[in-house]
Amino acid sequence: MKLYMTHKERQLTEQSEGCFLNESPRSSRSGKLKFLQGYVTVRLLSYAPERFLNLCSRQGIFIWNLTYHKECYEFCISIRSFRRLKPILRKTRSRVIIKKRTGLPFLMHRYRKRKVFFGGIALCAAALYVMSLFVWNIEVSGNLHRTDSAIIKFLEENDVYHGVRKSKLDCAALEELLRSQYDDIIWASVKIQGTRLVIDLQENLISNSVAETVKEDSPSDLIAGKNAEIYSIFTRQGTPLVEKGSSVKLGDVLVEGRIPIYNDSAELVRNKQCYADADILGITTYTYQDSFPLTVKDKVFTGKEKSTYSLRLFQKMLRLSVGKQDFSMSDRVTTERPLKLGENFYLPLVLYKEVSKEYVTRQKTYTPTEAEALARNKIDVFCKKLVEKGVQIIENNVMIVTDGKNCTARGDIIVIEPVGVRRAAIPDEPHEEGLETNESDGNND
Amino acid sequence: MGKQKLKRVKSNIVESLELPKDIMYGAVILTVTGRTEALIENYKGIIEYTCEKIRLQTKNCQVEIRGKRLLIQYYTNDEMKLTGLIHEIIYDP
Repeated sequence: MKLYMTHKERQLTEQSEGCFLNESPRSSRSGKLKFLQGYVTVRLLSYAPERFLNLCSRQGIFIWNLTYHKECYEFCISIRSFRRLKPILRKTRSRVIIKKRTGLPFLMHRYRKRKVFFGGIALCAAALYVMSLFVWNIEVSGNLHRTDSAIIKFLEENDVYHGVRKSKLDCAALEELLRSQYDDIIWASVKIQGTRLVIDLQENLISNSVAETVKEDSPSDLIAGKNAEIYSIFTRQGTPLVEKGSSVKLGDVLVEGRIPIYNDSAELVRNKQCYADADILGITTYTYQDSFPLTVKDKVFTGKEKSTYSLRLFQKMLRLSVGKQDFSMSDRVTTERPLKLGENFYLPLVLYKEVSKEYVTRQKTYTPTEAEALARNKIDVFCKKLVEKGVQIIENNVMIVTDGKNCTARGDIIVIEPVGVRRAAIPDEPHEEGLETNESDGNND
Repeated sequence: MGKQKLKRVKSNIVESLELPKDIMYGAVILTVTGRTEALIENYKGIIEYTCEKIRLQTKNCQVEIRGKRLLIQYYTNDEMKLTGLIHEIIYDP
């Protein structure tokens, strides 16, 4: 599109406008600013171009990228300055042709019919800004004994929750609160990183381990956890009351947590309580019995599946899929997927997926060999579980009997296993004074 | 004769007080970077401009810059930036 500014014979309104220098020399005027303001590239057709150019500089009209082409000049000029060119053009009897328009005002004009699109961009930016004002994720690190959820729950009770305004948070106060509320937290650092609230903790590990050892030192006995015959006994501390080969009943004391102290004339002075410690292995018997019918109903999946989805908003269930169940017999597997933002901010929205798998039942009869294999398999599983618990199987007397209807496995499994169970010592008789003071030399006796 | 004397007095004052010469004399300042860029300050106007030649009026003389592909990057009332390959700079009285 051409824009002509032809000269007309009119009175030259001499410099009535444009004398104010609102455009200072801007050697470092950035290209982005030029783009925002908008500029045009024009071709100058004139008989006295130098005069025109000098007039422009006199009036403070900023021109850049001035180039010479055959018989004419081309230059860039901002929109505002372009409007002020008119009197100069008239004066020098020249004209300009717009070659190219660049900049935001022209773009806006071109896309003026797409207001909603730009509105959407603006709305998106605004939404992003508003969302960034809140805490969307709370991260707790450095906690070994306190769980994340416990700390997050504690924070929630103190008005620090997912979705809280960042401006409402006082990190220093929160640190103080954490330290004062939990005794074992000796150092806490709370900081906001973007929309994350990062909590670093340091727990006092020494006090925990001290507590453990004190507990271990308290007087205790070892008693039998079940009926057994003692296979071996190795006492480290305390008085053993049983020996190898003796049979014990459930609840019998095996190693007593007290050491009798005698004086030189073999008279009992007092009993020193201690922490009984011993490795006691006993031979125990497990009775195994299992029976199953030879004819069973077996599930056979047809392979047909159907998924339904539902949504739970707060306490309300909402079925998303329509259509009714048409399997007469089916296994249903429901998967629950809570929607969450970040790592541990759960939205009150849970998505359920329910998969129904159709099956039909079929009668099945085991042959004696099959039944025996199955029973043997079950026994093996049982034994394997025992071994996993740390017992040693020394005898396996299980017999498998298959009659017309049932398959029965019955018998004893004899194992060696630890039988000692710790029990706090019964409180002492009052005559035992000076326990603490004599403890050190009592230990050596 | 009086004019000459006045000029000498002025130059003496400027010299002794160490006043900036460009302001006092209105002298043109050329800052040439390599041979591709020139910044001209304190000029009065453009007399002639083509791709090979640009002639500027200053207070005391005319400056002509010859070269190739000369382009005025921007110019204002008293400052001009020129790029292109500069061959020679000529001062005409």
